[in-house]
Amino acid sequence: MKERLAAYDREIEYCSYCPKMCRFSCPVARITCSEASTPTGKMTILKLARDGAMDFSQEVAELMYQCSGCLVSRTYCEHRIEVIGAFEAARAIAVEKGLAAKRVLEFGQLWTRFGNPYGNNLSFKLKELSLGKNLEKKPALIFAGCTMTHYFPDTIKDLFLVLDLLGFEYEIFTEDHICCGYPLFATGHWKIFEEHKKWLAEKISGYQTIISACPTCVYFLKTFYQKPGLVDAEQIQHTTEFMEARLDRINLKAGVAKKIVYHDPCHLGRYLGVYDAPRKILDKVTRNGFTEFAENREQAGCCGGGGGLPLAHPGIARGVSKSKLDEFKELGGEILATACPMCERMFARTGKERGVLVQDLTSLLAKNLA
Amino acid sequence: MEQKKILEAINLLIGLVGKERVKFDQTSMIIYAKDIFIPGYVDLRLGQTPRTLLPAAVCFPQSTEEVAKIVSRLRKNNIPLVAYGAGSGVLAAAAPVHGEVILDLKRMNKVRSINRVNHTCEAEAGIIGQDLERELNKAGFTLGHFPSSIYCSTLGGWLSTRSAGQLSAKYGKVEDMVIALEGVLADGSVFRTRATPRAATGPDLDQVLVGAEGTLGIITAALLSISPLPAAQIYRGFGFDNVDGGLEAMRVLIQKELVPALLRLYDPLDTRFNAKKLSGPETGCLLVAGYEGANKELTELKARLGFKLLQDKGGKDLGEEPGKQWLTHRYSVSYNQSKILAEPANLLDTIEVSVNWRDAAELSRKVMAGISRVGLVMAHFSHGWRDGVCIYFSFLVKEPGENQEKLIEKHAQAWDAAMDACLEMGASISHHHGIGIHRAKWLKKELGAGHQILNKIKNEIDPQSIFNPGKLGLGERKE
Repeated sequence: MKERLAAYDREIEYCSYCPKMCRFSCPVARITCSEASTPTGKMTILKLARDGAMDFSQEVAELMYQCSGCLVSRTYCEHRIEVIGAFEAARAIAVEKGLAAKRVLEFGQLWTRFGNPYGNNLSFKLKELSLGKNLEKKPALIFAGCTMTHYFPDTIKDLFLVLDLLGFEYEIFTEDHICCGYPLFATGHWKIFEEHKKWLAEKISGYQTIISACPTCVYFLKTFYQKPGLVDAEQIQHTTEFMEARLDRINLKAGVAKKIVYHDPCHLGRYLGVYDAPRKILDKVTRNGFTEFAENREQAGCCGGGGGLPLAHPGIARGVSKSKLDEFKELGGEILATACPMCERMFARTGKERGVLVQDLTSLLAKNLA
Repeated sequence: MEQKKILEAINLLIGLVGKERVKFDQTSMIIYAKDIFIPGYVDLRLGQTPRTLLPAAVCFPQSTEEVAKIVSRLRKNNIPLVAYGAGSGVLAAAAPVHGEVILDLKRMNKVRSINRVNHTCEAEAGIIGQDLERELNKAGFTLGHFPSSIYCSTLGGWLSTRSAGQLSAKYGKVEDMVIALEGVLADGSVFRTRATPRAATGPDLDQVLVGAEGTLGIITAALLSISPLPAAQIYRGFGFDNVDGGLEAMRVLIQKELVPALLRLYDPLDTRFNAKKLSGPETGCLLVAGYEGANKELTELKARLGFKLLQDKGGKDLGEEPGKQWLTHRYSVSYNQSKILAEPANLLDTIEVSVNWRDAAELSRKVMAGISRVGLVMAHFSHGWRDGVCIYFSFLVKEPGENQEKLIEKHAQAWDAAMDACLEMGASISHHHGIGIHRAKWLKKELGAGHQILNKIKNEIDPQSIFNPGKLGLGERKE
């Protein structure tokens, strides 16, 4: 186990000896209120298991899944520690040893069967959306991702609308496994992920540009495919970056009069450093500007949807999402705007009873074309 | 606690609050076995789970009434408990040395009300400091309480230890902010003290509980005095040749009623250590002074007069930059702990004491001389009072052979030197970190017969010693 975690020795040591300086910021610990759920608590347990002071048991494994990977603890860490890497490595050990929770272990089988986390034929769904497209090889590839395709196919249609308006030439990835692999990696199914990665790398090579409306896909494709040279795309971008760069060519009306509050997705903000592009888009489409959450940009709170948290700890994930929605309501928000399908899904689901309206920026832009 | 009793406690708690709010898994027990007490990290270093007793269980009550029910039942079954905030104490005050039940109050974390007329705020004890401050800021207020643990400590923890924040010279220490308390006594009864600005109705009951480290009652909520957000913040740095000169300037500044919010003098080593971060000098002593307040004109006037006085007393004006950098990096020092402790040859710690002005420089020299025999030590002086000041020592002991027992020995020798010097010179062994377990032996010497008063209160108010037994040297349980 020491070898498997060696890459995270600094993180494990520093966090274990820290007086819990990121305590107040951890969204999971804010819901459970337990000191064991804090980054320091989890790292301390991981250190003890790594050093053989305690068994790497089901209890330890369960704790390792209590992290959404939001990286907000890094914001309040002067050592800029990113805790999720160590937890993901621990999760891989947990899956291998069969110690992860039953639903996590079964998830691997589900994904293998359907090529995505949702148990349906997403490839077919995308092919339907892409009728009349994909007839020729194009320099750009649209990678919709599993979550966007499953939950928000209309956003994909809106993206096509904007791209066609710009005269942008593109193909759409509609192969069998509509997934960048993040759900596998985040939940510890690394063996399945490695096989998928080889397959996907081959399928998405040969494009100059890859665009996705899912920041998780963008981050993952950049980090696990482009950076190690598995994929030769020059540019992998989120749709907000793509659209913001072309705002001068898109005729927009400031059509949105309702009060919009913008949520920074963790993967778009803290992972990719994209904070301004979504805001510039919102400036264009709103009549009266938009509202920020009190903690925004690098301090932005999490939706609870990342890191496999909804799978491993659905109650905690809902709690995280709910607390963000409480603030949205306190701000008098009418539309919760975001730029991530998982954020949209979490807020829409948790906010359903409260009538919270959530919209992706791509759709907001498409609906305000002049 | 024997296994049978532990099971009894767990079943009892589940019966009261439900399974979801009672933890007894190994991972939770290990984490809750210690706070930030430094020697407690040695076990981690040795690859051991804590050598202290693990708690029986951790329970998360959601209301004062629930705390009362839990206390009643635990008392009936003679099961001791520790009220717990975020476990950021440095003296093992929250450690379950008898295998107590931990009552983690963090689910009681609401700001119940903010009163704009009275400038008061009622908040539950489990709220983390930074969350409380953010809520107040949204409403245009501040508590003015900024301990370096604000990100990881709770209101209840502050009240229990009589904590002090970095700007205490202006806003007061936590006991100055308390108007009224709500909580639970050892017999399970709920108490709420009256919310008045002041009263001459016998001893101040709030102050019996504030600083009692959970031994006399569990504080579940407090009504606090709050201040408007400052309209002006004027911070500046000054250089002094030595500690004596800097201390004299601090004393005069305070006694001339030009008390700033921040007044902090770093000794030469601390000055050098912080030189880069604070854009301060490499030699001599850096003094950072900051004025802030809701009245802009008054703040500016006080700053002008105060800064002039500091210069008249020999301070070299270093400009705004050290002040600005101090505000930016005010919590940075706490991040050093992980880097230093990650090296097995190191052990570090801090000791804060309280002393009158006349003896401050000499006490500082005495303590530094004592600690220097076993390690490296530096000090800063802050939290000024009309009659004295807090000296905050930071020290590092090393053991090149990484023998942890020898490190603990050196750590103990450093503490002995500091505490003995304080007792000898009539200073207080603690300014704001409190007592816990670690300082209990010296507390009895400091308080003398006064400790008997505390003992008698404890024996009367908690005869079974259910609440945090042994802390403050009170209510040792015979088991």
